Amino acid sequence: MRHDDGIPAERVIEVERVIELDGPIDEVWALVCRADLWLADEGALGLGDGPNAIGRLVEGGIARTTRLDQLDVGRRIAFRWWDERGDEGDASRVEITLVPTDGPTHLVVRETLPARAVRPARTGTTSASSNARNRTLLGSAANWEIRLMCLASQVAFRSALVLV
Amino acid sequence: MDATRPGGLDEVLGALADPTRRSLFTRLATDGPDTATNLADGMTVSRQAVVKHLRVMAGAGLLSPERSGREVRYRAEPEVMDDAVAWMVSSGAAWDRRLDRLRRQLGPSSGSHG
Repeated sequence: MRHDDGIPAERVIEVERVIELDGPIDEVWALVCRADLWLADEGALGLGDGPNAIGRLVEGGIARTTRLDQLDVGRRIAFRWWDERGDEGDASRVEITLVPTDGPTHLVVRETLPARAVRPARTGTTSASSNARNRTLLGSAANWEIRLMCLASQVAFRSALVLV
Repeated sequence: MDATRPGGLDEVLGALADPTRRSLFTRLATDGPDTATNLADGMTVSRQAVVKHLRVMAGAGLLSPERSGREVRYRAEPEVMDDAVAWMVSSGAAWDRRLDRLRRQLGPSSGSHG
């Protein structure tokens, strides 16, 4: 599997959402660019600072550093972000794409995390809080179908949620 | 962190990339531990091929082999996927919140699918 740019793809896990927004694409784009209005409580992506622009977004008390990957004005923003106390190597990539239609504007957001950035739970490298979170989120082993559906098929998680 | 370590998510995803292995894993997770002989029964692939698939998944930490008389029974271990799924759950919930915020900025008439 390769990306369009010819770089060999690595295995990733992903989350995707698609929403319809009533409003002309220009208006939606202008809002999407205002990271402080929806992406985070405060901060900016530095969209005017050229390729690889570094930004900072604070959301719910968590500060993330961002690095701009792609800016296709009026259509797509892609960036990597990671906890500013952490490592860029563990960054996930966010792609926000606007798709014009005859009716509402479609917004597709896709966040991918490299599989290598995920610490396997059973090796004991996961933090206690993360394990506690997992127990809450996943319940018993009876939810294995969801895990398999998410990971093996690489389907968007919103489909898997239907099974919960 | 060593991505090639058994049980690393990369290896788990690789092991699950094959449809035959996924169906074997599904059967073991649904019906409980079983042997290669029983699993091969009713499948279009040979017992030998099934053994090979089971070993790949065991190597990735998805299955635990258990000795049972002269045969080996394999038990499904879906927990190796927990951290990945937890990330998907929390990241998905965060995007739902952010997209709600964005929608509110545009006014109340915007709908959602997905």
